[in-house]
Amino acid sequence: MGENGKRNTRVGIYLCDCDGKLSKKIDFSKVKTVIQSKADFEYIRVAKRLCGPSELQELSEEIDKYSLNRLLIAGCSDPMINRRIVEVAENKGIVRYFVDFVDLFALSEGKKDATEDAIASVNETLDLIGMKADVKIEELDVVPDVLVIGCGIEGGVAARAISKKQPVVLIDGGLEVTDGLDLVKGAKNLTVKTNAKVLRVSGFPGEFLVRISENGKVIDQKFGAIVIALGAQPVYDKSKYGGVELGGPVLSLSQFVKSRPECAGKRFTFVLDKADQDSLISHATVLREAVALKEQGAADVNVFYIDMKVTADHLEQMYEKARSVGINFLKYVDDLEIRTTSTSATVRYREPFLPDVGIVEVTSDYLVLAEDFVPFSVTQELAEIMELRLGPGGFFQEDNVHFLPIKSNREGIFFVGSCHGPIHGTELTREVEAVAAEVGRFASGKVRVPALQPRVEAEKCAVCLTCYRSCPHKAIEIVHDESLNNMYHSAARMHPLACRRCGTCAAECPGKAIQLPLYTDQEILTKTKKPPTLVAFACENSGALAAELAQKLDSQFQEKFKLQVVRVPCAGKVDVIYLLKALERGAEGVLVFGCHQENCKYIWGNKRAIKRKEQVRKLLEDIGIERDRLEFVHIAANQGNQFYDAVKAMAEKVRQFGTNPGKVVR
Amino acid sequence: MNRKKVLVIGGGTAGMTCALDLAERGVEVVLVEREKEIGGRAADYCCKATDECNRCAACLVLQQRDKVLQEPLIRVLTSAEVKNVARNGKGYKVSVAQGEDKSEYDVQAIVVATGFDPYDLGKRSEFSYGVEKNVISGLELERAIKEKGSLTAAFGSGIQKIGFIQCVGSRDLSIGNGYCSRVCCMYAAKLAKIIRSELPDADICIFYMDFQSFGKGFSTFKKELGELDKIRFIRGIPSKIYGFPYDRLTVRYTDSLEGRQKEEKFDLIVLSLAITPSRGSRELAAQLGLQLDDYGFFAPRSDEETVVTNQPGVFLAGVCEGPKDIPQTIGHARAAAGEVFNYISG
Amino acid sequence: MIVAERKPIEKILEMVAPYKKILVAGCYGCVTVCLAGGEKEVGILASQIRMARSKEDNPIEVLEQTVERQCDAEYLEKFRDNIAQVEAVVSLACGIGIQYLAEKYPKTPVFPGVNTLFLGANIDVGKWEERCMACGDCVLDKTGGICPIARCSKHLLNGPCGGSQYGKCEVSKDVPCGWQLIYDRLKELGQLDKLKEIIPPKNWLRAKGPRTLVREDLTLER
Ligand SMILES: Cc1cc2nc3c(=O)[nH]c(=O)nc-3n(C[C@H](O)[C@H](O)[C@H](O)COP(=O)(O)OP(=O)(O)OC[C@H]3O[C@@H](n4cnc5c(N)ncnc54)[C@H](O)[C@@H]3O)c2cc1C
Ligand code: SF4
Ligand code: SF4
Ligand code: SF4
Ligand code: SF4
Ligand code: SF4
Ligand code: SF4
Repeated sequence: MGENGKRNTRVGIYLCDCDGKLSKKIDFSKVKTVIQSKADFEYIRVAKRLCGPSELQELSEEIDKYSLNRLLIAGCSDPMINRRIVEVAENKGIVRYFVDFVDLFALSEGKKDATEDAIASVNETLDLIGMKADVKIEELDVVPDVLVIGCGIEGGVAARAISKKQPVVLIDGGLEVTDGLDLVKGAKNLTVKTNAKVLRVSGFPGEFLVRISENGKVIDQKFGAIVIALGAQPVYDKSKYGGVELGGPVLSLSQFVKSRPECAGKRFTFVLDKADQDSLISHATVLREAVALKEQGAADVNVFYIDMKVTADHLEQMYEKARSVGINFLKYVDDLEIRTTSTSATVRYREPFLPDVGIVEVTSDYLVLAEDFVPFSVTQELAEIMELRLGPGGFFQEDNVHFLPIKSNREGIFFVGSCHGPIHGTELTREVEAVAAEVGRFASGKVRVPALQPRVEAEKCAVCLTCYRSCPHKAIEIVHDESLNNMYHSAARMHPLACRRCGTCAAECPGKAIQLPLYTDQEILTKTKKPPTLVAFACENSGALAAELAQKLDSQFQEKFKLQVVRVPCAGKVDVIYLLKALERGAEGVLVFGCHQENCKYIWGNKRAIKRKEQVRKLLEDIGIERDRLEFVHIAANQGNQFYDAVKAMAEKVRQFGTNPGKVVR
Repeated sequence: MNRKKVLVIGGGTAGMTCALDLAERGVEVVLVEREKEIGGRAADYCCKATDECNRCAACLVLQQRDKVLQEPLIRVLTSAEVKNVARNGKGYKVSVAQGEDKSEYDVQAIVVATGFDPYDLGKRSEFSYGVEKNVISGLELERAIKEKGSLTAAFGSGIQKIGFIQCVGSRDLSIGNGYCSRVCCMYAAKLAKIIRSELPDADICIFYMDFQSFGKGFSTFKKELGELDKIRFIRGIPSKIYGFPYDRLTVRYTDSLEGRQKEEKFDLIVLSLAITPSRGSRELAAQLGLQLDDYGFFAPRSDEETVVTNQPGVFLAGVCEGPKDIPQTIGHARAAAGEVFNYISG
Repeated sequence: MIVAERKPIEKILEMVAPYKKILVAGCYGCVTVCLAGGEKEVGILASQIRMARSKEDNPIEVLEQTVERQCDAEYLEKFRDNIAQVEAVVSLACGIGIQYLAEKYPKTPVFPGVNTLFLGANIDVGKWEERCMACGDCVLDKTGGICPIARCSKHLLNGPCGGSQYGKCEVSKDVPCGWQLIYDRLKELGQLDKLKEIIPPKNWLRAKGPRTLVREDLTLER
């Protein structure tokens, strides 16, 4: 939304000679004169060496003197130097997004006289500056209180750590697990509610409104953030042990831990790696228990295993210790056979290390079998209420590296511990530290964020809900306000703390009502006004970085293939219109680079982009233009070669196709 | 504007995460990296995606680097070294040398994020590392695939038999490394997977002691690796590698599941080398008054607070505190940033 | 909501073949919501027409404009300047909008850019289902809130027919039988007795021509 209709941009233009290095190729006074004939800026000057301390000081004073709120710096492209200039600007209240650089070295490379190029480039950048949406740093009030769901050990540890900095309400989520409550006894700032369930969550990070039923009584309370720490449930699955039932001498590991039998003189056998194969919880538990048994006088302790899992703090040492106190570690390869009587259990197995011995029998008084860890049944229900996504095995969390270790698909909602996949105690410590740091942002009751979330032009919003439904992070609400200028007096609104700025909503909106600051349609379409042979829309998390690596492999590569790389925050931002326009304006081929399957930082941005590629390919085909002029490529930030190869392949393809027949000549 | 300032030592995943997090909270950061570029070890790793991402997290590191370089609140000093540290009230006065240039900063807190060094393979002559050109480290394989784009592009088309040797320098009390490096089973498995997708007919095997799980879906991943991708898992760590015949490598090992000594010929051997404390850790610890653990990693104040040290105002982030994979490193570093923020605002 | 779908491009190209300058006219109403004729679709169609014509070496100028609703004269007024410049208009509004636009600008040919399909609900992004056929004499009170005309393939008022099998309609195993739905719903409501009532045939006769709706209580006297 244009703030007050009109924007008051006051641009300062600095043409920096870089200590005389640039004036050999660029006639600065000419650039200045030509630019001066354009009206939309406030101040212009040629600088000798803008990065020097005295000129930086001068710049700082000029910002005040001319009330500048945008800067255009034409000179070098050294990121360190640019950073220093931005620092000066930010200290004067010009946010970083409003300092633009034109790399005069790059554009004068290989040329005798680059004056005209400099003029063109400064002009273009000036146009782009004029299009930028205003970005303010907003200070928002937030609720410092945190809701922790789960009263098990994990919830207890998390609640205790968080409550050191801000108020916590700890609820059991309707589970009967309460063994974490001892951990929070006496903690200040902490309220416990048991037999309490979440019924509804609305609102956004900083101010979630949560409806909780506590012993049947319904209350609404506001929370800044929510931490889910439900833990996981050990479940004995007899099919993994050839149908052996628990009872008598056979115990599950959790039964054993809860009520350890009298051990002096007894023989114990543990079986690992039949169940709980994805984690090392059982391994850690068995190592601990086995050593304790031995120390307390058990006659014989055996541990059956396939791979001893030791990837957590102290586990290797514990394993070492277990071996040194005489615990027998028995590796098995084939299936185990278990036979039980009312007082003992026998495990028969083939001893792999002693091939001549064949089948060996191990009999003990107690047989302890590891269990699988599965999500509590409320997981599904909570996921629905809170619109959270589940991953493998029905545990919380997207199976995507961007979300590890504790992030959910929504800002302000976090997972800790085994509710997102069984984890071991030492990892829990680190997750709790991380989650406390995350929710700690709200502890003071205020946060400052740049308002970079998309803006909606109400006049164009049909309240169609497309954006609302396409947002992977549930960052959109539909607001009703008489001042909204459309027939519904309603429009979509993106929340600054919930939005992760992928731009998917903007690309999906059928009314073109949504603009993402720094990547508005106008800015992107202006950048691709005169496309060279190839245009690549490249996601900043993958393609754009791979392009930089490709550039390192061959510094001439973009020129060689006549390629323009357009940075987008996510492939999901690439609008059908961008693709069509690039071709209409004469690009011979268009590439969209997005992340690999299941690696999109914004969950489904790459999938949306693939759909749009298919849509545009169909549109092209329908008018007899080669569909393969458009391609989507999965790539990662470290794949410079693959980027290069994809561009090369497209260059080859369009060479075979010949001139793009759809190019519209004006 | 009078901003708080923090020194971060080490520009790897941990240092970058910490710096970005602090900058997001309005804190100025001086990020000191001793190498020419920031990014740390993981900036050299390859992508291990096949038809989908295999979740190695290497790409996250380059994303961070890009953000750090764009962040005006982070002052990146490369080829730099922390020279002097003196306590100054709640904070520190530090001097940083960049070649001849010296600069001084008043900082309110220090984050140690110096990461790790790979185990020195020169110590293991039995593997002929450094003698045979096709005996390489896991790090070298990662870098080669990243830089050249594929195994074949990096090592030529003659590579048809590849062996990974796990736990080189890890889980080995005889050399004082009684810990598991935690990431090597994971990256070896994932590297094996991309090599399989590139070379459908190659013979790929992994020599191991205990294969470590790496999270959700591990058992399925491993099962598929064996059954679908036909990766051979051989339980037993080779005792000797020698260059015979002249263009290949012979590996001698005992398959402990069969109890027999065997020899097999390979074209390429990858040593999954241990994560060991970063060189200079001892000196840095002395300079900052920090403690090291039994293996030389920085020791946190307690098992419950793994980012806090015994020195007020000095914090730990990432692998310098003990082996971690990238997501764990990121989590740890974010926790460190949170603690730092509390410390400097308290 | 009215649900429509973009016409195949060949059809549209055929309509605009004689012209050198046209307007593609969008509507921010129903057709935006059903992703067929909002500002974005206007952009897509315009681009496609331009490229197709360039390819034929027969360039065309295409203007683009979208207004709040094409079924209201006040909004149609906004097109005046652009329509004055062009030889023809392709409207991406529903059939109502297209006709109303044509009516307001009688001198300019107006072509349909979409096929208006039905009155439906938006099930999810990209999915719509028919719910009502605007019969003018709603019977939902008798049918458990499920429309026999829209949901029964044969528009039976007293169903089901013999083709109802395992809850599906005989026209396709993916189509639920409307009358099965009605039965299930009535059963849930405990109103199965309503099925015994015979719904009399509807009077489809359009003695008065196309249907209009005039609500005297709301009309504005000027
Ligand atoms: C072969 C191999 C493959 C791996 N593959 C994966 C994988 O696929 N996925 C995964 O998740 N993890 C992987 N890892 C683990 C991963 O490398 C680490 O998790 C990650 O690098 C840790 O980041 P860090 O910042 O703590 O340390 P580092 O990456 O080591 O960064 C530390 C930085 O500090 C600098 N530094 C050190 N000392 C000083 C000093 N005194 N002053 C200034 N700067 C200093 C170093 O130069 C370095 O840049 C792998 C590890 C190895 C060995
Ligand atoms: S997609 Fe566009 S038109 Fe639809 S609700 Fe969102 S902003 Fe409004
Ligand atoms: S930019 Fe992305 S995260 Fe933000 S509101 Fe739009 S779709 Fe949601
Ligand atoms: S680098 Fe790793 S995490 Fe990134 S896309 Fe490739 S496989 Fe996935
Ligand atoms: S992760 Fe695997 S290879 Fe690495 S030290 Fe641990 S067991 Fe050995
Ligand atoms: S013209 Fe048609 S599509 Fe547009 S608002 Fe009116 S009824 Fe809906
Ligand atoms: S009976 Fe059906 S078609 Fe008729 S008005 Fe009711 S819902 Fe619409």
